[in-house]
Amino acid sequence: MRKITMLTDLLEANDVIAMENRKVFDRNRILALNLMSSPGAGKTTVLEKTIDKLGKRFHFAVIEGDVATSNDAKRLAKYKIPVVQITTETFGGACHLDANMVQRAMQKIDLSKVDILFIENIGNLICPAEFDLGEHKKVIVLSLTEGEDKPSKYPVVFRNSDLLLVNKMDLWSYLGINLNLLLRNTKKINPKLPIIKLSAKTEEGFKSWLEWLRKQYQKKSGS
Amino acid sequence: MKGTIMHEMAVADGIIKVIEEKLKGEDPQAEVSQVNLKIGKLTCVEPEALSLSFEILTRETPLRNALLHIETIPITGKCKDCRRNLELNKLDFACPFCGSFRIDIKTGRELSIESIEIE
Repeated sequence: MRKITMLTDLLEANDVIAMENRKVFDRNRILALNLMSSPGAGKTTVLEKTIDKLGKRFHFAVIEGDVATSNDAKRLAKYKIPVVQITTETFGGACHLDANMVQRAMQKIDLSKVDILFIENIGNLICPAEFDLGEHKKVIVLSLTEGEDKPSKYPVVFRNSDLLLVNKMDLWSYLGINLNLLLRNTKKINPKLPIIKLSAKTEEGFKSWLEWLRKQYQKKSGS
Repeated sequence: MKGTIMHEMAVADGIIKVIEEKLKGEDPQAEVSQVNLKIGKLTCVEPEALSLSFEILTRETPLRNALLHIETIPITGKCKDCRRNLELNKLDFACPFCGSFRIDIKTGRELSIESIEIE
């Protein structure tokens, strides 16, 4: 028997690539956002509406992560923006994107023409939080239909995020959800996390999100 | 946490790729008998699910008989308010001494292949 020392940390290896990605974004004055949620929380609808509203002002690009299918990329195709699909089937069906996958996807986009890049992570609240992709901010989309206890069940992702969008507010009166409890549970895990309540469908509260986005972009580009 | 097996699959896949890279300079007949890992509790990796994923993914490879030895690393840190060193046994991120949520995490994020043993 022979022992070979490795001392290789998978997350550290990921972080190194993420840092490279971030440098590329910075050099191109791009604001990069990592969008995370459970399946069906409405990430793609939020994206569609955002591009619809701000498409004249900013040049958007999207890196779209899914385990299988390119349905989301097809939905975004009508906006005539660069969309790169990563399907993790080819990576053993991974449930998260990692920095390496994003780096490869970035090479397919002319980054000099992009202002804001959305990286739509795979629908899952467990592990995407652990993998830095090189983004500047992490945004969680939580739909009201998911109940009040999601933040308590998935504390790691809530702790590591920079903004929470509570989506599907138009359903509030039907669901009997205790919104205060949801907000309290969130504050417990991450007291400083800004929260925007909105409905991507009815556009209620959507302005606050667009405002947040504009501010982040200004900070990044210095303009 | 249920429904996380895919997470472990992806992690196991990453571990296998790193080891296979390392084995390139070794005797092709060599078989790995043990893989020593350090896994922090913050990574939400379930050791049992990881071992199962590893077993499934290594069939018919030089790693097929390898045993995963997993050392679990607790989540430790320091409270920014009461300044005490602490260990988190729940993922509530509250200081067990003063209840503050302002905590600097020191350990728990490890996902490290420490060494492998080959025959």
